Amino acid sequence: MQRSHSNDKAKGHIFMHKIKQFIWALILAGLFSTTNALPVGLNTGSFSINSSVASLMDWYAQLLSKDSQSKFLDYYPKEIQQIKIIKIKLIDSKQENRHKFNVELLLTYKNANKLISKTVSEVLVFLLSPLGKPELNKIIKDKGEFATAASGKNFNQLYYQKRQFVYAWLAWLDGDKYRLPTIENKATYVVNIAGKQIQGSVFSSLKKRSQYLYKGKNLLHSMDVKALKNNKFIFNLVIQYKGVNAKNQKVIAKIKQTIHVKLKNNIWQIIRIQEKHLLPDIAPWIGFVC
Amino acid sequence: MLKKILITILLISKFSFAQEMPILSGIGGEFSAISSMTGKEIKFSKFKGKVVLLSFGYTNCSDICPFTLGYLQHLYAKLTAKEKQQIRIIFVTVDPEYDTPKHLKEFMQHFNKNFIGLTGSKQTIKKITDLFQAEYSKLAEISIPTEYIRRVNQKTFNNEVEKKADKSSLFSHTVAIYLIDKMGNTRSLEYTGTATKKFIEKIQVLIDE
Repeated sequence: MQRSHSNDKAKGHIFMHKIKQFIWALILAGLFSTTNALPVGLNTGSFSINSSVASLMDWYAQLLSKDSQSKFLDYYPKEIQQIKIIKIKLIDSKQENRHKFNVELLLTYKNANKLISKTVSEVLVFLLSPLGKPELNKIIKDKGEFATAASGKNFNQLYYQKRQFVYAWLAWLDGDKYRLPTIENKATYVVNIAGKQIQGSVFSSLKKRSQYLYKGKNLLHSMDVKALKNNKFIFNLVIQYKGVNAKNQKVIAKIKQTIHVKLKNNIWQIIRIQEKHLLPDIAPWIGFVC
Repeated sequence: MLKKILITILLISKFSFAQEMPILSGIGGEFSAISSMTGKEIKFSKFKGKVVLLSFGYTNCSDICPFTLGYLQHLYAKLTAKEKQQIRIIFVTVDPEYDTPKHLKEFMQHFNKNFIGLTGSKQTIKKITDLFQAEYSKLAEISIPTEYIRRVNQKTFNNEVEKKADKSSLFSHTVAIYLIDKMGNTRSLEYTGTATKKFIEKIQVLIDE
Protein backbone atom coordinates (compact mmCIF):
# COMPACT_ATOMS: atom_id res chain seq x y z
CA MET A 1 0.00 0.00 0.00
CA GLN A 2 2.85 2.27 1.02
CA ARG A 3 4.77 1.22 -2.09
CA SER A 4 1.85 2.02 -4.34
CA HIS A 5 1.54 5.40 -2.61
CA SER A 6 5.22 6.20 -3.26
CA ASN A 7 4.78 4.99 -6.87
CA ASP A 8 1.87 7.37 -7.29
CA LYS A 9 3.97 10.15 -5.78
CA ALA A 10 6.85 9.40 -8.20
CA LYS A 11 4.42 9.29 -11.14
CA GLY A 12 3.02 12.62 -9.95
CA HIS A 13 6.51 14.12 -9.89
CA ILE A 14 7.27 12.82 -13.38
CA PHE A 15 3.95 14.21 -14.60
CA MET A 16 4.64 17.61 -13.04
CA HIS A 17 8.15 17.58 -14.48
CA LYS A 18 6.75 16.83 -17.94
CA ILE A 19 4.22 19.66 -17.60
CA LYS A 20 7.02 22.04 -16.58
CA GLN A 21 9.14 20.90 -19.53
CA PHE A 22 6.19 21.41 -21.85
CA ILE A 23 5.51 24.89 -20.43
CA TRP A 24 9.16 25.88 -20.74
CA ALA A 25 9.12 24.64 -24.33
CA LEU A 26 6.07 26.83 -24.92
CA ILE A 27 7.80 29.83 -23.34
CA LEU A 28 10.88 29.32 -25.47
CA ALA A 29 8.74 28.85 -28.56
CA GLY A 30 6.87 32.05 -27.68
CA LEU A 31 10.09 33.97 -27.20
CA PHE A 32 11.48 32.57 -30.41
CA SER A 33 8.40 33.52 -32.41
CA THR A 34 8.50 37.03 -30.89
CA THR A 35 12.13 37.35 -31.96
CA ASN A 36 11.18 36.21 -35.43
CA ALA A 37 8.44 38.81 -35.53
CA LEU A 38 11.02 41.60 -35.26
CA PRO A 39 11.57 43.42 -38.54
CA VAL A 40 14.23 41.95 -40.75
CA GLY A 41 17.05 44.07 -42.11
CA LEU A 42 17.26 46.67 -39.35
CA ASN A 43 20.32 48.84 -39.69
CA THR A 44 22.30 46.84 -37.24
CA GLY A 45 25.17 46.54 -39.68
CA SER A 46 23.43 43.72 -41.52
CA PHE A 47 23.64 43.52 -45.28
CA SER A 48 20.69 45.32 -46.94
CA ILE A 49 19.13 43.53 -49.89
CA ASN A 50 18.50 46.96 -51.42
CA SER A 51 22.26 47.42 -51.54
CA SER A 52 22.76 44.18 -53.47
CA VAL A 53 19.92 45.05 -55.84
CA ALA A 54 21.59 48.44 -56.42
CA SER A 55 24.80 46.57 -57.33
CA LEU A 56 22.78 44.27 -59.60
CA MET A 57 21.22 47.27 -61.41
CA ASP A 58 24.67 48.83 -61.63
CA TRP A 59 25.99 45.64 -63.23
CA TYR A 60 23.36 45.74 -66.01
CA ALA A 61 23.99 49.48 -66.49
CA GLN A 62 27.68 48.61 -66.94
CA LEU A 63 26.87 45.91 -69.49
CA LEU A 64 25.06 48.56 -71.53
CA SER A 65 27.88 51.07 -71.19
CA LYS A 66 30.54 51.26 -73.88
CA ASP A 67 33.44 51.79 -71.52
CA SER A 68 32.88 49.26 -68.75
CA GLN A 69 35.59 46.95 -67.52
CA SER A 70 34.93 43.70 -65.73
CA LYS A 71 36.27 40.17 -65.76
CA PHE A 72 32.70 39.00 -66.24
CA LEU A 73 32.17 40.84 -69.55
CA ASP A 74 33.37 37.76 -71.44
CA TYR A 75 30.29 35.93 -70.23
CA TYR A 76 28.13 38.16 -72.42
CA PRO A 77 27.92 38.95 -76.13
CA LYS A 78 29.50 42.19 -77.28
CA GLU A 79 27.49 45.23 -78.37
CA ILE A 80 24.51 44.64 -76.10
CA GLN A 81 21.72 47.02 -77.14
CA GLN A 82 19.02 46.23 -74.57
CA ILE A 83 18.57 44.18 -71.43
CA LYS A 84 15.10 43.45 -70.21
CA ILE A 85 14.81 41.80 -66.82
CA ILE A 86 11.95 39.34 -66.95
CA LYS A 87 12.22 37.95 -63.43
CA ILE A 88 14.46 38.33 -60.36
CA LYS A 89 14.42 35.93 -57.45
CA LEU A 90 16.51 36.09 -54.29
CA ILE A 91 17.82 32.60 -53.64
CA ASP A 92 19.76 31.08 -50.78
CA SER A 93 19.84 34.17 -48.53
CA LYS A 94 20.98 32.26 -45.43
CA GLN A 95 24.58 33.46 -45.54
CA GLU A 96 24.86 36.91 -43.95
CA ASN A 97 27.51 38.38 -46.22
CA ARG A 98 26.19 36.93 -49.47
CA HIS A 99 23.17 37.56 -51.67
CA LYS A 100 22.39 35.32 -54.60
CA PHE A 101 19.88 36.28 -57.31
CA ASN A 102 18.42 34.19 -60.09
CA VAL A 103 17.71 36.57 -62.99
CA GLU A 104 15.89 35.86 -66.21
CA LEU A 105 16.83 38.29 -68.97
CA LEU A 106 15.99 39.12 -72.52
CA LEU A 107 19.26 40.22 -74.11
CA THR A 108 19.33 42.04 -77.44
CA TYR A 109 22.73 42.45 -79.05
CA LYS A 110 24.38 43.08 -82.39
CA ASN A 111 26.19 40.34 -84.22
CA ALA A 112 27.50 40.97 -87.76
CA ASN A 113 25.17 43.97 -88.00
CA LYS A 114 22.22 41.81 -87.16
CA LEU A 115 20.08 42.24 -84.04
CA ILE A 116 19.77 39.04 -82.08
CA SER A 117 17.63 38.47 -78.98
CA LYS A 118 18.05 35.70 -76.45
CA THR A 119 16.41 34.80 -73.17
CA VAL A 120 19.06 34.01 -70.60
CA SER A 121 18.85 32.67 -67.09
CA GLU A 122 21.73 33.54 -64.79
CA VAL A 123 22.68 33.47 -61.16
CA LEU A 124 24.54 36.50 -59.80
CA VAL A 125 26.34 36.15 -56.48
CA PHE A 126 27.21 39.29 -54.50
CA LEU A 127 29.61 39.18 -51.59
CA LEU A 128 29.95 41.93 -49.03
CA SER A 129 33.48 43.35 -49.21
CA PRO A 130 35.34 44.26 -45.98
CA LEU A 131 34.46 47.91 -46.77
CA GLY A 132 30.76 47.05 -46.80
CA LYS A 133 30.30 47.16 -50.55
CA PRO A 134 28.40 44.32 -52.24
CA GLU A 135 30.64 43.08 -55.07
CA LEU A 136 29.76 40.79 -57.93
CA ASN A 137 31.63 37.62 -57.12
CA LYS A 138 30.29 34.97 -59.45
CA ILE A 139 28.01 34.53 -62.45
CA ILE A 140 26.49 31.21 -63.40
CA LYS A 141 24.59 31.33 -66.66
CA ASP A 142 23.09 29.14 -69.34
CA LYS A 143 23.67 29.50 -73.09
CA GLY A 144 20.30 31.12 -73.61
CA GLU A 145 17.58 30.61 -76.15
CA PHE A 146 16.79 32.76 -79.16
CA ALA A 147 13.75 34.96 -78.69
CA THR A 148 11.86 37.95 -80.05
CA ALA A 149 13.40 41.30 -79.19
CA ALA A 150 11.88 43.41 -76.41
CA SER A 151 9.56 46.05 -77.73
CA GLY A 152 8.31 49.34 -76.35
CA LYS A 153 10.41 50.65 -73.48
CA ASN A 154 14.07 51.29 -73.95
CA PHE A 155 15.94 49.08 -71.53
CA ASN A 156 19.18 51.00 -71.88
CA GLN A 157 21.98 52.10 -69.57
CA LEU A 158 19.96 55.02 -68.14
CA TYR A 159 17.08 52.65 -67.32
CA TYR A 160 19.41 50.66 -65.03
CA GLN A 161 21.19 53.74 -63.70
CA LYS A 162 17.83 55.09 -62.46
CA ARG A 163 17.13 51.84 -60.67
CA GLN A 164 20.64 51.69 -59.30
CA PHE A 165 20.05 55.16 -57.77
CA VAL A 166 16.71 54.16 -56.25
CA TYR A 167 17.95 50.93 -54.64
CA ALA A 168 21.14 52.61 -53.40
CA TRP A 169 18.95 55.33 -51.83
CA LEU A 170 16.79 52.71 -50.14
CA ALA A 171 19.88 50.87 -48.94
CA TRP A 172 21.10 54.14 -47.40
CA LEU A 173 17.74 54.60 -45.68
CA ASP A 174 18.11 51.00 -44.46
CA GLY A 175 21.26 52.18 -42.72
CA ASP A 176 23.92 51.10 -45.23
CA LYS A 177 26.60 53.77 -44.74
CA TYR A 178 28.41 52.67 -47.88
CA ARG A 179 25.48 53.95 -49.97
CA LEU A 180 25.84 57.61 -48.93
CA PRO A 181 24.27 59.58 -51.79
CA THR A 182 25.69 62.72 -53.37
CA ILE A 183 23.67 65.64 -52.06
CA GLU A 184 23.82 69.20 -53.31
CA ASN A 185 24.82 71.72 -50.64
CA LYS A 186 21.51 73.54 -50.66
CA ALA A 187 19.37 70.41 -50.96
CA THR A 188 16.26 70.44 -48.76
CA TYR A 189 14.19 67.60 -47.34
CA VAL A 190 10.59 68.21 -46.30
CA VAL A 191 8.83 65.43 -44.39
CA ASN A 192 5.08 65.46 -43.71
CA ILE A 193 3.91 62.93 -41.14
CA ALA A 194 0.20 63.67 -40.54
CA GLY A 195 0.14 67.08 -38.79
CA LYS A 196 3.88 67.19 -38.24
CA GLN A 197 6.27 68.79 -40.70
CA ILE A 198 10.04 68.49 -40.68
CA GLN A 199 12.03 70.81 -42.89
CA GLY A 200 15.73 71.39 -43.37
CA SER A 201 18.82 69.96 -44.98
CA VAL A 202 18.76 66.27 -45.93
CA PHE A 203 20.83 65.26 -42.92
CA SER A 204 19.01 67.43 -40.35
CA SER A 205 15.57 66.29 -41.59
CA LEU A 206 16.65 62.66 -41.54
CA LYS A 207 17.87 63.07 -37.98
CA LYS A 208 14.55 64.58 -36.85
CA ARG A 209 12.63 62.00 -38.87
CA SER A 210 14.47 59.20 -37.08
CA GLN A 211 12.37 59.72 -33.95
CA TYR A 212 9.43 58.32 -35.97
CA LEU A 213 11.30 55.94 -38.28
CA TYR A 214 14.45 54.91 -36.50
CA LYS A 215 15.60 51.56 -37.80
CA GLY A 216 13.86 49.58 -40.47
CA LYS A 217 13.58 48.01 -43.83
CA ASN A 218 12.49 50.03 -46.85
CA LEU A 219 10.79 48.12 -49.61
CA LEU A 220 10.19 49.72 -52.99
CA HIS A 221 6.48 49.60 -53.79
CA SER A 222 6.55 51.62 -57.02
CA MET A 223 8.67 54.10 -58.93
CA ASP A 224 7.96 56.59 -61.65
CA VAL A 225 10.62 58.80 -63.22
CA LYS A 226 9.98 62.02 -65.08
CA ALA A 227 12.82 63.40 -67.18
CA LEU A 228 13.26 67.17 -67.19
CA LYS A 229 15.70 69.35 -69.12
CA ASN A 230 19.47 69.44 -68.47
CA ASN A 231 19.78 65.89 -67.16
CA LYS A 232 17.39 66.58 -64.31
CA PHE A 233 14.85 64.02 -63.17
CA ILE A 234 11.97 63.70 -60.72
CA PHE A 235 11.72 60.34 -59.01
CA ASN A 236 8.31 59.53 -57.53
CA LEU A 237 8.74 56.63 -55.17
CA VAL A 238 6.31 54.78 -52.95
CA ILE A 239 8.11 52.87 -50.21
CA GLN A 240 6.81 50.45 -47.58
CA TYR A 241 8.64 50.94 -44.29
CA LYS A 242 8.68 48.31 -41.57
CA GLY A 243 10.75 48.94 -38.48
CA VAL A 244 10.83 50.73 -35.17
CA ASN A 245 10.74 54.31 -33.89
CA ALA A 246 13.25 55.86 -31.47
CA LYS A 247 11.27 54.37 -28.56
CA ASN A 248 11.73 50.93 -30.13
CA GLN A 249 7.98 50.62 -30.89
CA LYS A 250 7.04 48.81 -34.09
CA VAL A 251 6.07 51.16 -36.91
CA ILE A 252 4.83 50.68 -40.45
CA ALA A 253 4.58 53.43 -43.03
CA LYS A 254 3.66 53.88 -46.65
CA ILE A 255 5.95 56.67 -47.77
CA LYS A 256 5.62 58.77 -50.89
CA GLN A 257 8.88 60.46 -51.81
CA THR A 258 9.42 62.95 -54.61
CA ILE A 259 13.15 63.28 -55.23
CA HIS A 260 14.55 65.91 -57.59
CA VAL A 261 17.95 64.81 -58.90
CA LYS A 262 20.55 65.72 -61.47
CA LEU A 263 22.73 63.23 -63.32
CA LYS A 264 26.20 64.72 -63.64
CA ASN A 265 29.17 62.66 -64.87
CA ASN A 266 27.18 59.49 -64.18
CA ILE A 267 26.64 60.53 -60.57
CA TRP A 268 23.18 61.26 -59.18
CA GLN A 269 23.00 64.47 -57.17
CA ILE A 270 20.03 65.03 -54.89
CA ILE A 271 18.56 68.52 -55.21
CA ARG A 272 15.33 68.31 -53.21
CA ILE A 273 13.20 65.70 -51.41
CA GLN A 274 9.56 65.85 -50.38
CA GLU A 275 8.03 63.09 -48.33
CA LYS A 276 4.49 62.33 -47.23
CA HIS A 277 3.27 59.37 -45.21
CA LEU A 278 0.19 57.80 -46.77
CA LEU A 279 -2.45 55.46 -45.41
CA PRO A 280 -0.69 52.07 -45.15
CA ASP A 281 -2.17 49.20 -47.19
CA ILE A 282 -3.07 47.06 -44.22
CA ALA A 283 -6.35 45.66 -45.51
CA PRO A 284 -8.01 45.25 -48.92
CA TRP A 285 -11.02 47.35 -47.85
CA ILE A 286 -8.90 50.29 -46.68
CA GLY A 287 -9.93 52.60 -49.50
CA PHE A 288 -13.63 51.78 -49.27
CA VAL A 289 -16.04 54.68 -49.01
CA CYS A 290 -19.80 54.64 -48.85
CA MET B 1 5.63 28.13 -9.67
CA LEU B 2 3.13 26.79 -12.20
CA LYS B 3 0.99 29.90 -11.72
CA LYS B 4 3.97 32.16 -12.40
CA ILE B 5 4.81 30.22 -15.56
CA LEU B 6 1.24 30.44 -16.81
CA ILE B 7 1.18 34.21 -16.19
CA THR B 8 4.47 34.50 -18.12
CA ILE B 9 2.97 32.57 -21.02
CA LEU B 10 -0.08 34.82 -20.98
CA LEU B 11 2.07 37.94 -20.98
CA ILE B 12 4.23 36.62 -23.82
CA SER B 13 1.18 35.75 -25.92
CA LYS B 14 -0.25 39.25 -25.30
CA PHE B 15 3.11 40.78 -26.18
CA SER B 16 3.22 38.79 -29.42
CA PHE B 17 -0.26 40.05 -30.26
CA ALA B 18 0.83 43.64 -29.59
CA GLN B 19 3.70 43.05 -31.99
CA GLU B 20 1.06 42.68 -34.68
CA MET B 21 -0.28 46.19 -34.03
CA PRO B 22 2.49 48.52 -35.10
CA ILE B 23 2.05 52.30 -35.07
CA LEU B 24 0.65 53.41 -38.42
CA SER B 25 2.92 56.31 -39.28
CA GLY B 26 1.26 59.45 -40.57
CA ILE B 27 -2.23 58.61 -39.33
CA GLY B 28 -3.75 60.89 -36.69
CA GLY B 29 -2.50 63.68 -34.51
CA GLU B 30 -3.62 66.62 -32.41
CA PHE B 31 -6.75 68.63 -33.26
CA SER B 32 -9.58 70.52 -31.59
CA ALA B 33 -13.30 70.10 -32.25
CA ILE B 34 -16.66 70.74 -30.60
CA SER B 35 -17.81 67.88 -28.40
CA SER B 36 -21.45 66.82 -28.50
CA MET B 37 -21.19 66.07 -24.78
CA THR B 38 -20.49 69.64 -23.68
CA GLY B 39 -21.02 71.75 -26.76
CA LYS B 40 -17.55 73.11 -26.07
CA GLU B 41 -14.22 72.82 -27.82
CA ILE B 42 -12.11 69.85 -26.83
CA LYS B 43 -8.55 68.89 -27.73
CA PHE B 44 -7.98 65.34 -28.90
CA SER B 45 -5.03 65.09 -26.49
CA LYS B 46 -7.64 65.21 -23.68
CA PHE B 47 -8.30 61.55 -24.51
CA LYS B 48 -4.69 60.60 -23.76
CA GLY B 49 -4.64 57.65 -21.41
CA LYS B 50 -7.77 56.18 -23.03
CA VAL B 51 -8.05 53.79 -25.96
CA VAL B 52 -10.06 55.55 -28.67
CA LEU B 53 -12.21 54.08 -31.43
CA LEU B 54 -12.74 56.85 -33.95
CA SER B 55 -14.98 56.79 -37.00
CA PHE B 56 -16.30 59.28 -39.54
CA GLY B 57 -19.82 59.78 -40.88
CA TYR B 58 -22.88 62.01 -40.64
CA THR B 59 -26.26 61.74 -39.03
CA ASN B 60 -28.21 61.85 -42.30
CA CYS B 61 -26.28 58.88 -43.66
CA SER B 62 -28.74 56.17 -44.56
CA ASP B 63 -26.02 53.68 -45.33
CA ILE B 64 -22.97 52.68 -43.27
CA CYS B 65 -23.07 55.21 -40.37
CA PRO B 66 -26.02 53.76 -38.42
CA PHE B 67 -24.59 50.33 -39.18
CA THR B 68 -21.13 51.30 -37.86
CA LEU B 69 -22.57 52.87 -34.72
CA GLY B 70 -24.82 49.85 -34.22
CA TYR B 71 -21.74 47.64 -34.55
CA LEU B 72 -19.86 49.78 -32.02
CA GLN B 73 -22.88 49.69 -29.69
CA HIS B 74 -22.86 45.90 -29.89
CA LEU B 75 -19.09 45.77 -29.32
CA TYR B 76 -19.27 48.23 -26.40
CA ALA B 77 -21.94 46.14 -24.71
CA LYS B 78 -19.57 43.17 -24.67
CA LEU B 79 -16.88 45.04 -22.73
CA THR B 80 -16.57 44.86 -18.96
CA ALA B 81 -17.39 47.95 -16.87
CA LYS B 82 -13.66 48.43 -16.24
CA GLU B 83 -12.86 48.19 -19.95
CA LYS B 84 -15.64 50.66 -20.76
CA GLN B 85 -13.96 53.18 -18.47
CA GLN B 86 -10.72 52.76 -20.41
CA ILE B 87 -12.12 53.45 -23.87
CA ARG B 88 -13.81 56.30 -25.71
CA ILE B 89 -15.94 55.91 -28.82
CA ILE B 90 -15.80 58.98 -31.04
CA PHE B 91 -17.79 59.79 -34.14
CA VAL B 92 -16.58 62.72 -36.25
CA THR B 93 -19.20 64.23 -38.51
CA VAL B 94 -18.31 65.10 -42.10
CA ASP B 95 -21.45 67.27 -42.29
CA PRO B 96 -20.80 69.96 -39.65
CA GLU B 97 -23.40 72.28 -41.16
CA TYR B 98 -26.27 69.93 -40.35
CA ASP B 99 -24.73 68.08 -37.42
CA THR B 100 -24.80 70.69 -34.67
CA PRO B 101 -23.46 69.62 -31.25
CA LYS B 102 -27.00 69.39 -29.91
CA HIS B 103 -28.28 67.27 -32.80
CA LEU B 104 -25.17 65.11 -32.73
CA LYS B 105 -25.66 64.52 -29.01
CA GLU B 106 -29.23 63.31 -29.53
CA PHE B 107 -28.08 61.07 -32.37
CA MET B 108 -25.14 59.57 -30.45
CA GLN B 109 -27.21 58.98 -27.34
CA HIS B 110 -29.59 56.85 -29.32
CA PHE B 111 -26.71 54.37 -29.62
CA ASN B 112 -25.04 54.96 -26.27
CA LYS B 113 -24.96 57.86 -23.86
CA ASN B 114 -21.19 57.53 -23.58
CA PHE B 115 -20.53 57.84 -27.31
CA ILE B 116 -18.98 61.17 -28.23
CA GLY B 117 -19.77 63.13 -31.37
CA LEU B 118 -17.33 65.70 -32.68
CA THR B 119 -18.21 68.59 -34.96
CA GLY B 120 -16.87 72.04 -35.77
CA SER B 121 -16.27 74.31 -38.70
CA LYS B 122 -15.70 72.95 -42.20
CA GLN B 123 -11.99 73.77 -41.74
CA THR B 124 -11.89 71.76 -38.51
CA ILE B 125 -13.41 68.73 -40.22
CA LYS B 126 -11.02 69.12 -43.14
CA LYS B 127 -8.10 69.19 -40.71
CA ILE B 128 -9.26 66.06 -38.88
CA THR B 129 -9.92 64.10 -42.07
CA ASP B 130 -6.52 65.18 -43.41
CA LEU B 131 -4.80 64.03 -40.23
CA PHE B 132 -6.45 60.63 -40.41
CA GLN B 133 -6.23 60.50 -44.22
CA ALA B 134 -9.95 59.79 -44.14
CA GLU B 135 -11.49 60.12 -47.55
CA TYR B 136 -14.77 62.03 -47.79
CA SER B 137 -16.56 64.15 -50.34
CA LYS B 138 -19.88 65.89 -50.84
CA LEU B 139 -21.83 64.00 -53.46
CA ALA B 140 -23.75 67.04 -54.75
CA GLU B 141 -23.76 70.74 -54.08
CA ILE B 142 -27.53 70.90 -53.75
CA SER B 143 -29.27 69.98 -50.52
CA ILE B 144 -32.23 67.66 -50.56
CA PRO B 145 -35.09 67.25 -48.09
CA THR B 146 -34.09 64.73 -45.46
CA GLU B 147 -37.40 62.93 -45.83
CA TYR B 148 -36.16 61.69 -49.22
CA ILE B 149 -32.84 60.45 -47.81
CA ARG B 150 -34.21 57.84 -45.45
CA ARG B 151 -37.34 55.83 -45.24
CA VAL B 152 -37.24 55.96 -41.45
CA ASN B 153 -37.50 59.42 -40.00
CA GLN B 154 -34.20 59.69 -38.14
CA LYS B 155 -35.32 62.34 -35.72
CA THR B 156 -38.19 60.18 -34.50
CA PHE B 157 -35.89 58.26 -32.21
CA ASN B 158 -34.69 61.53 -30.73
CA ASN B 159 -36.73 64.15 -28.99
CA GLU B 160 -36.09 66.46 -31.88
CA VAL B 161 -38.83 67.44 -34.27
CA GLU B 162 -38.10 67.00 -37.93
CA LYS B 163 -39.35 69.92 -39.94
CA LYS B 164 -40.74 69.50 -43.40
CA ALA B 165 -38.14 71.92 -44.70
CA ASP B 166 -35.25 69.97 -43.21
CA LYS B 167 -32.56 69.65 -45.85
CA SER B 168 -29.19 67.99 -45.98
CA SER B 169 -26.38 67.03 -48.32
CA LEU B 170 -25.16 63.57 -49.15
CA PHE B 171 -21.56 62.52 -48.54
CA SER B 172 -19.32 59.59 -49.30
CA HIS B 173 -16.80 58.81 -46.59
CA THR B 174 -14.40 56.21 -45.29
CA VAL B 175 -15.78 53.14 -43.53
CA ALA B 176 -12.70 52.70 -41.33
CA ILE B 177 -12.77 52.60 -37.53
CA TYR B 178 -9.43 53.91 -36.23
CA LEU B 179 -8.10 52.09 -33.17
CA ILE B 180 -5.94 54.56 -31.26
CA ASP B 181 -3.73 53.73 -28.29
CA LYS B 182 -3.41 55.60 -25.01
CA MET B 183 -0.61 57.74 -26.40
CA GLY B 184 -2.65 58.87 -29.41
CA ASN B 185 -0.97 56.58 -31.95
CA THR B 186 -3.19 54.90 -34.54
CA ARG B 187 -2.49 51.19 -34.15
CA SER B 188 -5.04 49.53 -36.36
CA LEU B 189 -7.83 50.18 -38.83
CA GLU B 190 -10.94 48.08 -38.55
CA TYR B 191 -14.45 48.13 -40.00
CA THR B 192 -17.81 46.55 -39.40
CA GLY B 193 -16.54 43.37 -41.07
CA THR B 194 -14.07 42.78 -38.22
CA ALA B 195 -15.28 40.04 -35.89
CA THR B 196 -16.18 41.77 -32.60
CA LYS B 197 -14.21 39.13 -30.65
CA LYS B 198 -11.06 39.97 -32.60
CA PHE B 199 -11.67 43.71 -32.23
CA ILE B 200 -12.22 43.37 -28.46
CA GLU B 201 -8.97 41.39 -28.14
CA LYS B 202 -7.12 44.24 -29.84
CA ILE B 203 -8.76 46.81 -27.56
CA GLN B 204 -7.79 44.74 -24.52
CA VAL B 205 -4.16 44.59 -25.66
CA LEU B 206 -4.08 48.38 -25.94
CA ILE B 207 -5.80 48.81 -22.55
CA ASP B 208 -3.16 46.58 -20.95
CA GLU B 209 -0.20 48.42 -22.49
